[in-house]
Amino acid sequence: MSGRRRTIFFLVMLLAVLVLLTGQVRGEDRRSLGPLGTGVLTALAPLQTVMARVADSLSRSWQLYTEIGRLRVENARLREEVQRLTREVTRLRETAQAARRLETLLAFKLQTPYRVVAARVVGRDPASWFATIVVDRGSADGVARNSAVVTAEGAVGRVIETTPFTARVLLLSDPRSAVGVILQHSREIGVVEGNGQGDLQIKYLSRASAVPPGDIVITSGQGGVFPRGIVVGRLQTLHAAASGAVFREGTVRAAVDLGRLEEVLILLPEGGPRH
Amino acid sequence: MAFVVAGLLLLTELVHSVWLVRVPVWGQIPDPAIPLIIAISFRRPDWGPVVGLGVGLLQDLLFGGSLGLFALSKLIVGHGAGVLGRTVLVDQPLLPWIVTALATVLQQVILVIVLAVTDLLPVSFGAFGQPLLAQVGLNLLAVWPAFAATRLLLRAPRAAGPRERFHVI
Repeated sequence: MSGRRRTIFFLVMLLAVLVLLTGQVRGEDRRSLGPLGTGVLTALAPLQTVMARVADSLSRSWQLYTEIGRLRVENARLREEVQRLTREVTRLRETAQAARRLETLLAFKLQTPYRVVAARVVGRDPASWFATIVVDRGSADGVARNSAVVTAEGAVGRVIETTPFTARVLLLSDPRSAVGVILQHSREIGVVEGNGQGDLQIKYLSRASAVPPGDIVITSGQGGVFPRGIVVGRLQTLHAAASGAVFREGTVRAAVDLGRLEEVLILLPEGGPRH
Repeated sequence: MAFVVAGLLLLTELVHSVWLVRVPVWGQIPDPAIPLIIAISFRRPDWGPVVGLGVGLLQDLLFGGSLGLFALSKLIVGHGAGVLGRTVLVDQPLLPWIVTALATVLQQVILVIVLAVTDLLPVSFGAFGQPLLAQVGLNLLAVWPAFAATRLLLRAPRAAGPRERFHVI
């Protein structure tokens, strides 16, 4: 094609486009496809539809992929939040339980006629054959050797040694412990001793005593450590007297769970500082 | 071969109108037809105006504007690229990029002038700022695939004889 013919061809096409454009602009809706344009669009519509579906599918896949990433991040954040809240709930539950225990102790403290000091258990005897605990009150608080230690549920033990700021308590379950007791209903007198295990032993009950299990065991006030009337536990079993034996023995379930002590009250001897 | 090229152009415009419009970059949509028209026009200078006109009309049909709007700009781009293809050593490595950038700017100028004259749409000179730069950048991304595809489909034109060269000059 020569240069002149090319130029003429271009100008013809240019003119045609300008005419087309002018006609479109002057039209009412400024776009009139005509049968040819409609035919082209009709022919292309299936292709466009297929390609649009492919694009939609890819778009959804991409959204799903990015959503998974977001969900992972969100999940990690929520897990962290759950852990934090779990720690918080645990702390609050612990605080609530401590508050309930202290509330019970306070109520007991208000009811008891003795002067008492509340103490927190700060140590336990690591040896399994002894049963002692260490509390955070000592001689500076008026705690003295043989001070009785109780909770709202009942007797715990007695102080066996003191430092200015701590005291060691011999629990009822220690084999070295012995407390004079009375069975509340039968009025039988005996002595409760520890055996280093869970239940306590009650000794020196009269051979003729016919005590039903379940009778409440309280301190007798003899021995000078515990005042009279503090609950020690409940009679669990009463063994039959052996032939020729003078006394009967039995087991007592302690009123206080001695393995789970956290706060206690120490009954102060007369003349000690007031709390 | 002309049918294959026509199919490539049709596919390009379908991709343009269905897929690329979904992922605007900096608010602009790349127009891969511009480098493709230029690449074809460099290889077949006589096809330039026809290819430009055809692609422009197809864009007008697919994009919903007034018929002739893109046809006019693409016709001029195709014709200009054909002229370059006949008169300039088109194997220079930077030429496709430069011509594509210039063609993009030229198309924008033509569109703005036509829109202003025909009062089809309100026109602002903001169209020549950042949007135009973004459009140029996006179109440049399509240069390499367009020219590679064209090299695969169309053989290099015969070297012009002395008489034809003299005639052109």
